[in-house]
Amino acid sequence: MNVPDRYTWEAEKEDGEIITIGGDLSSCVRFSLRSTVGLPSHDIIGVKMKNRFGRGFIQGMGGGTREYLHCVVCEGFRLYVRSTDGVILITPEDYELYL
Amino acid sequence: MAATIQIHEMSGADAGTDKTSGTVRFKMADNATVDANNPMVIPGAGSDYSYTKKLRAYMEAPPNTQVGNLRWYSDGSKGWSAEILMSYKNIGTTFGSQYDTAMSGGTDFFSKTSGSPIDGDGTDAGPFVPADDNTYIGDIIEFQMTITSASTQGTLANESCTLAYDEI
Repeated sequence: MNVPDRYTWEAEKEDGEIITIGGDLSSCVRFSLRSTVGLPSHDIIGVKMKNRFGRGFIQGMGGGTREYLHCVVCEGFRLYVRSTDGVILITPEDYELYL
Repeated sequence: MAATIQIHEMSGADAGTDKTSGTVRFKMADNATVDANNPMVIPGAGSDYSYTKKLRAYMEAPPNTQVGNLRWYSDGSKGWSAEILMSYKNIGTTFGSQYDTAMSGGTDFFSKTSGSPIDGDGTDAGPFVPADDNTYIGDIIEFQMTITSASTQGTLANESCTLAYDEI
């Protein structure tokens, strides 16, 4: 299982529509990450969400290990989730995490 | 499914070898083979330069929407002695020939960290979309190793080079 595929996500809009593609979460009331390999699930509800993206890390020149972060930008904070172990990190809203 | 992005060692503007999980060996020959042939030789005086190596990102599988914000960086901690240098420069999308003379306009790669990375899509600007599947994306980053007469012989420990990208 590729590291980026260890989690799938879905978001629920105010009208109940479920989305699984895209980055705009401005009209969403729930965001969920579900692991495909038994890692912890994560849900965000009750906060104003803005957008989401994934951030991949490839280590070349003898490395080869990879990490993939799922990031959800909310009003007042960000949530990063590591795909290798499911660990979360909450940061200021504009914090760019690079490993 | 998320995109699959690879690191390729380039032998032409749009041709290369997947080195995502492999090693890029700096030596005195122009090929991507990882072996003990053609080692760099410590000079009696002055400096000796490896053949340049060029790395570029490759989209092996497409994103749902887009990939962008390509960044290249080191861990900022060179595990080699001070006499051994790694230079880089962003050469855009023009491949050029490999060479074993001193790189002009190069910068110390280990000065580029996650906090001050190399912009990897300044010339070939993203975002890169599903239509870019199975193509090279972003800029070509050229590297060269330099050793001086003060260097000591032996095989060096690996150093890593990180490529980061954002995906929607």
